[in-house]
Amino acid sequence: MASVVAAALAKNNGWVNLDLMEIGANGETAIQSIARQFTDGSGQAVSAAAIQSAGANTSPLGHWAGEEGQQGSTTVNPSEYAVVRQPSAAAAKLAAARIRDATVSPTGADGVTPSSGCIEEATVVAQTSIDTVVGEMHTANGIDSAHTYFAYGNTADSSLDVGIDSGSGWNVSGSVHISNGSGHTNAETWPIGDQFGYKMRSGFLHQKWQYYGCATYYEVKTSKWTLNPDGLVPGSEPADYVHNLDNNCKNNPYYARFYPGQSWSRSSNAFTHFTLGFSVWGFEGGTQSGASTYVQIHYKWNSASSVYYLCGNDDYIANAHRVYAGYG
Amino acid sequence: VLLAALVVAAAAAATTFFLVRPGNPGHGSLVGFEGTMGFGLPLKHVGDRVSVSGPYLVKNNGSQPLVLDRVVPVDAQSGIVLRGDYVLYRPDHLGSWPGYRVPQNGHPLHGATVAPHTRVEIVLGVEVTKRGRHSWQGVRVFYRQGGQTYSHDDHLGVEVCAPPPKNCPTPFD
Repeated sequence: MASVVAAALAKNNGWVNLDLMEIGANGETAIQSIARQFTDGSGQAVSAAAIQSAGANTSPLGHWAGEEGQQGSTTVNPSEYAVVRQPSAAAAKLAAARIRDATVSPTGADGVTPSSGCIEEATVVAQTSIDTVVGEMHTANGIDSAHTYFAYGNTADSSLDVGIDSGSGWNVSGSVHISNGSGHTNAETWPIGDQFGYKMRSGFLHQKWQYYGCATYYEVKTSKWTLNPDGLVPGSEPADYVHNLDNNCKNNPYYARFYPGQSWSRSSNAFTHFTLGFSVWGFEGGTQSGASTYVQIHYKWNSASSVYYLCGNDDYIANAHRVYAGYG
Repeated sequence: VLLAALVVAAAAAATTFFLVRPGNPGHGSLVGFEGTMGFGLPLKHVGDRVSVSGPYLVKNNGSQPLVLDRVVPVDAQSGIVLRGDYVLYRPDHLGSWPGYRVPQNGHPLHGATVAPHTRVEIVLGVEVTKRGRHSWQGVRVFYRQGGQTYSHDDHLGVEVCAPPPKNCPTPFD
């Protein structure tokens, strides 16, 4: 494994974020961001120490897995990439030379430098740490607020859209996966009481990059979890209010019953994708949390009622993308 | 537009990246749920039982039918015992329920057939056999398909507490 990849994995809990630059025979150039995790046979991230000790021979340790599925392959899809250079005769000529050079004369494991091509460079032109949606939590009545919570951390676990602007406005071009540690020993935990329904937020560092050399464009990409700002203040963002979806399990085919004193929790990579997870420099990016056990919703019910209800938006609660509360 | 084969990784540092397709030999087609699902279940007395599901749904993603054989707890402590199990071909709304009995529409898990591209609900009967807090971390489902025997693990964790403490957490708390 290349040392630069091993270093990136160590900083991001086994994940590496990459930009794929695809150049068509007609010169059209597109960018798509992808995330890959280096995992062992049981799907757990291979430790940085194990990768370091293995040196170049990391193949026996594990394999690459992607968010698209365990297969790890990526299909370049027009709905998922952003075009940064339109096709033209001149661009096609350059592309043909670059493709030939890349095929014939790779320069080594750490890079491919076409002799007649160009080298893409990038500079950070702005950065800011802002609240970003990491999940949601819903409750009805009968909650034991001392033991009902939404937990995020102690490493991040979110996929965040990447934005590309080559002069015609922002487009989503794939995503990055952020999984760095917070430096805190405990998970970020938001205690929840009765009749709650909000999206939960935490601070992430977003950066605006300017690219130049082969193609010129701007890219908004999330860099790391910062916890600055730290968490949700209920009611601070009216758009975050989603409690109107609760207290209606009686009309939902996917409800489940629980009883006084019981607890139930779930962590999953199947929680919902929020179309608007953050907004920065005019780019509105989506987010999705939970590819590991670092995102958890946890309920405990008191003895105020004889039965309690949860329900899924699109399946039973073990498999649903969203979990609502309350019979209604 | 035909996009050609030049792939340049232009992240923080330029690097090539080879997409590897991992092998997945020897696995059958039973799938459960992603991530973890945990239950914390207070019980009044040693010997009390509770029905646990979620609902816990397992699906046959293959084109051949499969036959369930048995389910066993994974990493179980002493003091918690799986006393019984059954399947429902039409999932009910059982998260967890005090007491355990097999309903009229319940079928023995051993020998239950799961048709291709269908799913069934598994319900577990759990008993606390001594005072205190006792848990398991997951369950392993054994099944047969096409002449082969397979197993599938799900992180369905159960913790039982007897007598009931102020808080009976899940194994994943």
